[in-house]
Amino acid sequence: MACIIGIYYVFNHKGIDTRKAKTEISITTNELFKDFNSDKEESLDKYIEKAMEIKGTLYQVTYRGGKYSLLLRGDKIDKLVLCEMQKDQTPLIELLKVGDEVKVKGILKGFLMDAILLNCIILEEVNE
Amino acid sequence: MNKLLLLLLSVYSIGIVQAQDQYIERQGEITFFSYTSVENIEATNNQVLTLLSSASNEIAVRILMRSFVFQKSLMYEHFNESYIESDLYPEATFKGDIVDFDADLEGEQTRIIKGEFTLRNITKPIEIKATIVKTNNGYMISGMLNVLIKDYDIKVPPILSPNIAKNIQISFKFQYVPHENQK
Repeated sequence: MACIIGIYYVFNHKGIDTRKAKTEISITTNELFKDFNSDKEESLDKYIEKAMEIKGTLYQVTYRGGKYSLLLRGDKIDKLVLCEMQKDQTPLIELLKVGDEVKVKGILKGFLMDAILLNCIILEEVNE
Repeated sequence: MNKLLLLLLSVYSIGIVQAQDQYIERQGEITFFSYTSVENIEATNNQVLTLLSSASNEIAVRILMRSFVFQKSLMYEHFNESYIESDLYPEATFKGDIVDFDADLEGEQTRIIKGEFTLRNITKPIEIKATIVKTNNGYMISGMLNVLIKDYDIKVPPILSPNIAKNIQISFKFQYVPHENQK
């Protein structure tokens, strides 16, 4: 029976639960983009598929394909952090305003022009 | 090809700020479908980066392979670790030209986009029939194409062969806005 449950779990598992994932790196958008500009993103490649916490300024909220995304910026605007949010985050997202300081946790998937994180959750709104 | 595309994107990023004819989409949507009698597999990526020049009719696309979301995590693992080998080939890219694109035409136009699609470091010429709609502040481009997995040397183990279609359907939808709005 345990074997059947195990097989069912393996074949139907929906993916990482960000809340339970161990945070491998906690960083601000400015720190992230500083690494971008030095050795490009290679130094961050080791964090791909790992949980990352990132703090930055909310630049934009988008809604695509049934999911919200938070776009976080640092001091500059040429590169952003795209955080596709978990669906259960909607009530928290609706409280946010552009310009808010936000800390999110998500799974780093890699880099294009921006850093891309999926399965994100809001840890805190850090307006002082 | 990848280096050329990266260079192109870098040049766009630097030179685009003043240009009125450059458009960007940071969250383009691509969905692929694999239909077989055994299993239907679908995955969507909502983080596709693409740039459009309405002056030169050029389009460039970068797709992060690990950003595809599947219904089940096992499908995601097979896709990234066995079929695409995303550690080695993290991106797919497309660079092409929209044939006879009329950037000023109001409403909808159907056009062919001719270009090269690179997946797993293998580049093939490709033609895509696309619908282009002029919007309030940019363009929406959508369409579908088919990709044969053998063209990109994607190896499926014999035991899983009945589960994976030989011909993968891909649909896309990009909503471009002027690049200067991204400042």
